[in-house]
Amino acid sequence: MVEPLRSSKPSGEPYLRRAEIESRLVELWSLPRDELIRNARVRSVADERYIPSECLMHFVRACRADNNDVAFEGLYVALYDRVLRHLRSPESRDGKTISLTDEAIRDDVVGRFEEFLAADRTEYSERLDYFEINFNHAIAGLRATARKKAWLYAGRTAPLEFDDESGELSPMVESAAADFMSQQTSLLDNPDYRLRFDAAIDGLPPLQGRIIDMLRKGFQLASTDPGLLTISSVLVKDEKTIRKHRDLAISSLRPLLSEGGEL
Amino acid sequence: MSIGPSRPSCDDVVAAFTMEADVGVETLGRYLREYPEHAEELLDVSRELGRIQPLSEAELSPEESALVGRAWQRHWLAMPVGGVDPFATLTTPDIRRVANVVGLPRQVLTAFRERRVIPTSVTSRFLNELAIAMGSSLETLRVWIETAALAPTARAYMSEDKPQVRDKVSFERILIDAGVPPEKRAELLADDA
Repeated sequence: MVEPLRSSKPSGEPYLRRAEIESRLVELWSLPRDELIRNARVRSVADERYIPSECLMHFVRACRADNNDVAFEGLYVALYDRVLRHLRSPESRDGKTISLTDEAIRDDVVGRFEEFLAADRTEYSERLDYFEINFNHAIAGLRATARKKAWLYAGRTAPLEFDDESGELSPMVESAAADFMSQQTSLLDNPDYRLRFDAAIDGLPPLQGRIIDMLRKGFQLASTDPGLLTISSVLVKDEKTIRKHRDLAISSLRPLLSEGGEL
Repeated sequence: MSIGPSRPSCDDVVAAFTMEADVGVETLGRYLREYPEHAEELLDVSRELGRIQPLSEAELSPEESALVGRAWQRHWLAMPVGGVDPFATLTTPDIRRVANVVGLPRQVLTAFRERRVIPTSVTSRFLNELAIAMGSSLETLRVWIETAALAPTARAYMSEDKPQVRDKVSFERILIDAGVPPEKRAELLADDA
């Protein structure tokens, strides 16, 4: 049996690895160490020797009690390789538009990941349990935090000015906003457009980004029904404020997402 | 993790959400209702989870390879290598006593302390004798001299930093350099019976 995870959910229930990861770990523990390390370098998911990242994480942590540096290095390097490939490579930006720095995000994520690994080396760190449950999602969690920090420190365009009178309910504006979001929803099935859309959202101030994302997920701006989750109730802002920031966001996004628009 | 009347931390809530099997809108809604105080963080991670792309199978770029190399060096230098240090609690008089017991100059013990000896060049018989004299165990001493051999080398990682390479030498070379007579050397280097 593989050593169980030690962390527990807010409900008190223990976290468990997914069944397929548990069974793969049992298989991998029976492999000779050299073969394990060789297989750790396999990158193709289709290759039957491929080791899931959750399992790599497990073996790197298991080396805590093992002084074989060569084995640890082989597994550590393979794991780090996975982390880097989860993170987009930095691309040059033209400096003319708001852009989050992919490099800053990557460096922040790997830096924090290194800290967690180092801490776990001396004493079991429950934080790393998440990487044995769902490695992709755990990295996404780190990325979310890093993206927020990067936005705060990235260069920005001049603040958009808005009329204090905006945010008033206007059928024409509502219709235009609905059309815009409806158009986006249909375009987002295209993976390339999705990347473009995500990059454009990245450049918005956090509140605007959250509003657009919630609209895309189907949340209403506001409602008289107190039991309904709306953008207004979740973000704890009145409807007028939400509408104002929605309109500002769409104003920013339209030119970026139009044909020939540059991000 | 917090249970019972106290509210869980933001980190715990966000982690719990990311670990859900289904992180769709319905699950998001459930978390937003249960933990409204962490709404922004939940929304941000939900958006990030929606951006997950299939893992690239391409080779790492030279810059990424260099990152890996530097990360390994940092990790290696920081980690507690060699398990327990059997020399850690030995005072100078202790070292002198141990040297007398095994009948060798102190510089031989220093070579072991600094892990400069090639482990396979030392007989288990001598290692055991040394360990007993030190009040340690054969296994602890063996682990000490076996780990943290050479500092990490550039290998395939195109490291920008020049690693510090510590050369290990044979036990015989250490004995010769310490002026140990040939007869004593032969006795120490004789194969394990």
